Amino acid sequence: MIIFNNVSKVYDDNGAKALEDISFCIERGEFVFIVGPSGAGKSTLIKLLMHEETPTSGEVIINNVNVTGLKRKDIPYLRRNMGVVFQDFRLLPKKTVYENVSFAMEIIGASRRDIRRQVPNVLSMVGLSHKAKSYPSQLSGGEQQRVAVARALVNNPAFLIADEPTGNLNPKTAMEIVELLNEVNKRGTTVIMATHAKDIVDQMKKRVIAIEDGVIARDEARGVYGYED
Amino acid sequence: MKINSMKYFAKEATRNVFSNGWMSLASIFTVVASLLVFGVFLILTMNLNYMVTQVAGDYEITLTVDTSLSKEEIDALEGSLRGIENISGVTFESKEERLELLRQQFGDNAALLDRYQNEKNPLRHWFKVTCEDLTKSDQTVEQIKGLTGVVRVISNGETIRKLTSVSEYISNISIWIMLALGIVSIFIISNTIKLAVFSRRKEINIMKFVGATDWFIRWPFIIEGVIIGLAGAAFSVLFVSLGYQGVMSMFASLDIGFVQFMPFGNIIGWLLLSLIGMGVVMGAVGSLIAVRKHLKV
Repeated sequence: MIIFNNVSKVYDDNGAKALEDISFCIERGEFVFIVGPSGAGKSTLIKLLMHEETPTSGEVIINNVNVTGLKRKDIPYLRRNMGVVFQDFRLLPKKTVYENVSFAMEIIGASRRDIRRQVPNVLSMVGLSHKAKSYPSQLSGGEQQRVAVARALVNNPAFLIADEPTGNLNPKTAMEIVELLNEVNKRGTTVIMATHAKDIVDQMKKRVIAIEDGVIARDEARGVYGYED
Repeated sequence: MKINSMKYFAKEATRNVFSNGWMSLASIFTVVASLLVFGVFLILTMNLNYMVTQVAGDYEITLTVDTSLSKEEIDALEGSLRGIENISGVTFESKEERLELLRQQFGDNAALLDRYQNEKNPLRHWFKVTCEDLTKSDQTVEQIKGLTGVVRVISNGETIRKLTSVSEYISNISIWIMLALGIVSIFIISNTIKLAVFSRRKEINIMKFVGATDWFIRWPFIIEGVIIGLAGAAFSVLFVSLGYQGVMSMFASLDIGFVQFMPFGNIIGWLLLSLIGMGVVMGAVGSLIAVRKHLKV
């Protein structure tokens, strides 16, 4: 469960107010879209979730732990609860698909045996078992994003955070990725997806939190995108 | 630290060393260069101290004793000499013994001394005293002068003290030079590691997002730095050792009696210890500096 309690964020360097008095709660197993125009504060929200930034005021509670004042050395353990997918995939070009995924297990000190068992599992879940030995450059954008999803899921996180995951993909591929995320969600992982993709949001009929100028403009259980951009 | 992780660190570190091959090699050479100078200064300082202790071993203070002193009073004087803290050894020579020594020194001309026998002996008894710490010999001389029954105190301390102070001066300078060299090397190693870090910044970024701890990210780079430091140290120990033995045999063939070098066996241990220690520390610290900036995500 994720709770934002009256969270505000002001960036020190330019004094810009990115978020102002935001409160919401995301239950375990939910699928939530975060929408809003560019610069509205979506990215800041994601950064606060990942503890890349800390709130100027208010508190962020993740799995019953107030992470607002989390010590630096504890941040990695918080992040192991969440998988992340980015717009630009962020795969390592010199590693194969398999290695890109196993890498995420190696760095938390998983055993060789667990890695050998778990990596093929997630690869088959995202439908890329046959590409395990390929390099990212040999894959299409959609396939690369699937690898990123596999990497995000390989450590069985409670949350999957996707920051514009379809931004670099064509509409058909984008829809496939969202279907994949939906599949992940059905298996019990909470999914939080920041997006600009109107079609997808409208079609999925999931919870939508809309942010405008740093405040929550809407929070609807079965919402639509609601902007004409 | 988990075994799985250690394997990973070692693998990553060696891969880094070789994938930045030329840069690693350049760093190793810089380490060698600075450790060479370091080693030369170390040997220089050690030898100077060695020579000074050799010379200083000959140092003693001689004090002559008032002739009117009785046997008991002389014993008492010896007792108070031994009571002075800095004095490590006291030997007594009576005037008869001294005369006998002189006779031996005169050899064939010993007859010249015949008229100074027994009551006519003009010599005084004396004590020869050795010091523990030469730098404090001045105070010791003053203390001896203060004792009753002492007529004259003779010491060759001035020369030896000059020698000691020169050797101390050089030791101090050496320490600063070695320190400066160490710092320079740290920055050069740190630059190499920075390159490695920079070429892998995407990877580090991803590692941070997947939940790698700071130390997990640091270790491979630290190991890389230590490998560079160790390789540099190994070469320097080799070069310095060969050089030292070369210089020793050169001086030996020149046959200059008063220059006495420290035996190589006494040096190699210190050389290994300090150069390898320096190499490891420089490598590790250099890496820590290099990685620091990139961990803030």
